Amino acid sequence: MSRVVSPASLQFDQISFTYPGGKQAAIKDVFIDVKPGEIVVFVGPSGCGKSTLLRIAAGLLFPEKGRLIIDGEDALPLPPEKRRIGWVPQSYALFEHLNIAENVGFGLKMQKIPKHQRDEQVADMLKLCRIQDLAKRSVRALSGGQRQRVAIARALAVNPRILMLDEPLAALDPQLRIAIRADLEELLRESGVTTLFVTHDQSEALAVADKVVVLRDGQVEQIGTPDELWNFPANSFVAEFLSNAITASAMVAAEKSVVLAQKLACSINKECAVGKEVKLALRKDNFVISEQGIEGRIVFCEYNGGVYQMRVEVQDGLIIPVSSTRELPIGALISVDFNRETEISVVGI
Amino acid sequence: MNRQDPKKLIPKDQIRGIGRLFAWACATMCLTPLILVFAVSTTQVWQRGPWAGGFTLKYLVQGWNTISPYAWFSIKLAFLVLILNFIIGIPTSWVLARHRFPLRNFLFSLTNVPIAVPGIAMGLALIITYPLLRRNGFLLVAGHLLYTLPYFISSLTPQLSESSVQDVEWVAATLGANFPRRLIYVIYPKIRTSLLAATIMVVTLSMGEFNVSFFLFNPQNKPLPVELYSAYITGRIEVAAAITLCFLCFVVPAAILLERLGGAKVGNA
Repeated sequence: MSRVVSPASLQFDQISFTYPGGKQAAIKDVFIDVKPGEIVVFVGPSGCGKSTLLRIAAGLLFPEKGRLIIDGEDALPLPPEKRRIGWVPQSYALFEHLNIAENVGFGLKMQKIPKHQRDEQVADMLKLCRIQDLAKRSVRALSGGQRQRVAIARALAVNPRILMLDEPLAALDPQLRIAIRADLEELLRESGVTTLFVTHDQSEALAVADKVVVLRDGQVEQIGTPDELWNFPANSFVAEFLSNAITASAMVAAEKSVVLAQKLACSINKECAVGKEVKLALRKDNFVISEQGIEGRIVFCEYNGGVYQMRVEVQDGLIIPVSSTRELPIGALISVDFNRETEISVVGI
Repeated sequence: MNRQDPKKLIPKDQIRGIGRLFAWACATMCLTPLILVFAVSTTQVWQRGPWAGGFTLKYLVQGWNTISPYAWFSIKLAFLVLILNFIIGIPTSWVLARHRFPLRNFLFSLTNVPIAVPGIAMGLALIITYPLLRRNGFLLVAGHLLYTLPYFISSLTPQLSESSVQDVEWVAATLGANFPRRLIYVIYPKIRTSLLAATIMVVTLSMGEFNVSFFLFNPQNKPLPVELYSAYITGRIEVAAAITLCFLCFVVPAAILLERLGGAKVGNA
């Protein structure tokens, strides 16, 4: 089923915001450009300003500086009820005194849509979100996943120009989260609405986004497609946060090559002057366990669903991440080689 | 299914038993005076013993006739104070709950000061400061308002500060509801229980308040507790007991309702 929506563009233009009584700015000179229909994921550690940005866009917080442009118009003077932005908080904030159909129809009622038209739109929305069988149920009787769908249906029912989801999967248990994530993405693509999505889970960000915005301390660290961010992180923070990379320094041996631990020749993703020291983000997919590699001692090993994530200390104290399908004891000696199908990301020169 | 060792249950049962005994002792201690008041007020001549000379309702009728004008005055006063609590307390609670500003914590503490100040001191302070306002009853209303407002604000502010209330309000705003509609359709249903509890608390406190009223009343505007006091010191013990019983008929149901609402609130949390 498709819906007629008019997805909007959105621009945070040098937005700054400090919470009343706060000593530090929660958002500092943020510039983000969101194209119509895009799913943009804000990712970063707790307190980095992700949710604050959503609230500013929704009109729930007012920035002290900057402009918010929606479809080419300054939206800051508009109160939240006039912005046509759907906001789904982490708690979902369902109206517990109303049943599910009434929750979904709340916005339409506020907009004084006639009842018969409202009922039709609510039915459409319940169908889109695959909760049509729950229409008359109390929200108290719903599971986490169903609550999330009701909250999204309610936000979409008013045909918003932009949808904002603040950690929509955080309240779900890990098993359910992965299943619902795919479902949610499908639903968002189907609705066609421009979406801002907040998460602190990097895998969620990479899986769902057209574009990822990495935030730290209220500032943008990098904006790009998941692929760009994975392969070309702007700095060590982005690499460490998104891919759990380990940063290390090395001397450039050839134009696009470095030598790690004096023996291991590795390709890098940027052309750099020979002899220059570069900062690298070593990801676990850059290395494999192989007899041809360099020897090191396992210093960390953790089971991660079918794969063991390990860290191996090689010569000069360099730590290399690698994964294995079999468990190896901490302290064991193994050989690690560079995976020639990959390139190591340069995150600083 | 895990079965617990029956021997391990004994200490728990003992503790429960002691607790139950203690609860019954407390309940008996509280209920005995009530039974006694009922006995005194329905006995012809109490000096001769319970129900000596037979059971009578004449003192209750006499007591009700004595206090009814004052009871209605107290009810009117309580409802006036309640309206003022709504007018002043709801916006104050809203500001304290939703806005961060310098001296906010100080202001919140300030709203609680009247709880700590003895009613006598408050009454005395008001009458010394504004002696001319006593005659028209304004001071009595102000005293009751000062006495009840902190409780009203303390009941509402924590709930209004809850992120769940703020979230539903914000969601309603993004769905197109302006502030008055948010207040009616979303905030009120969310805080209804607290508001009702605060309402009953204000009415009960105002109706039972003696210390402030004693200093601030005038003969035309005498609240029920002050009249109760007069009856105790001047009238027969049977009439005083009957008046007390009538008074309790006003206050106890409200207190029970308040307790039930408190329980409901905890249950919903």
